[in-house]
Amino acid sequence: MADDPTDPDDRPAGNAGLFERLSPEGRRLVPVTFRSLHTSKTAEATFLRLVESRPYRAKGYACSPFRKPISKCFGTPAGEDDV
Amino acid sequence: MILILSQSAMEPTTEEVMDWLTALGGRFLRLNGEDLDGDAALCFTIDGAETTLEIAADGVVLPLAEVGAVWFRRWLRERRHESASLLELPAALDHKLYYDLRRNLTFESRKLSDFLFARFAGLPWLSHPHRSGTTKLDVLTRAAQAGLDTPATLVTTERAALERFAARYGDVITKPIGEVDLFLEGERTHFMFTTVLGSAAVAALPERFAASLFQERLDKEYELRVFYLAGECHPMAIFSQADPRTQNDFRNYNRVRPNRMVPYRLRTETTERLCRLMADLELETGSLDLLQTRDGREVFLEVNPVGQFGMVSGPCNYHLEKKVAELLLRKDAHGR
Repeated sequence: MADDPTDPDDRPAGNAGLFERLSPEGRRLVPVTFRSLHTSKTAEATFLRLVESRPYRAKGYACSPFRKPISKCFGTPAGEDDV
Repeated sequence: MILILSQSAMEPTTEEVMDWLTALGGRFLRLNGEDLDGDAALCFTIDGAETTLEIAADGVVLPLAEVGAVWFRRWLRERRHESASLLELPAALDHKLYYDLRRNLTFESRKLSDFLFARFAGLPWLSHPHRSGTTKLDVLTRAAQAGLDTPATLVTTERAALERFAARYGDVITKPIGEVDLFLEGERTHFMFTTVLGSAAVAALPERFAASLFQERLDKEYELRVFYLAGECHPMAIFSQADPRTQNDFRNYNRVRPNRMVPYRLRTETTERLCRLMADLELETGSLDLLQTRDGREVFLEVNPVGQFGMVSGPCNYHLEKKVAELLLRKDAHGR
């Protein structure tokens, strides 16, 4: 389950989290939420999580297979723009 | 004709509504934010008193003059330039120059978008970009004024103030004042979840810190997601508490054994107050987050004006995509 970003922190031992690596000024400027960031390996599941939480941040087209990947349409019959 | 303003990727809701518009005999055209970024040919001319706006895609000029209503669904990703290689140099060699270049590109496209939206100002809209960026604290304030039950909330820079708040409410949670975010760092990702702070975590904070948002930790029985559409609430209950993984935030999805999601009936007064809040915010659509506590409170948390609604429509058989399409057709008929 190490690839799953929603699993408990899987940082390698001795590898500090993002907050611990901030400069003194950085630590002063960030809100309290930064003290409990959840760090995990970046993997396919990470991007799925990204897609679900903030879709407009993800790159590429990755929606459910039954959805049609239409990018432009001028009122053409359904399916005509299918890739 | 209905003009749909959307984005080219990660937007299944737009396609679902387009399918319904087609089935209902509607005419529409879709303009993605990316079309202004080079995916389509754009030409705006001022020649004396005469102005023309022309957008062409795949050799076809969009019939913008026929537009009778506009649906603002999504638009450009403002941070899309972050992953672009803008300089021949590695980014690490000139952070500030990279930052300044990206900021300039973002401002330029924002102004162009504002201009484009203004061209359709006289038409009926469903959702509007100028009302899609709500502020969590403002929404909470208005929700409380509308009579909705809201969580006790504190924004402070002072540990002493937080300690007094925690003494009154017990464990507290902290979350961003804006939106949850994540930071990709090579092979690692740093996520920002809603986090519970116990007394030890509060005591470990410095006396003063950057302004942060804290709320009472509510003892959830189940979570509620409500899609609001033009005066009607479509509520769904999410049973997230039986799974330790989804107890604090159901978006910490369990893909193997998903939470059960069912249609739900809100209390009448909650529905009325939600409608009052949405009217106050001048929103015709929105995904509203609430929760039911074990001591019987129906607590409002936040609203996303352009949230996805497929996750409510599907499990509850609300057919929201069809309702949105029908509403757009009515607006189009009214606008022409």
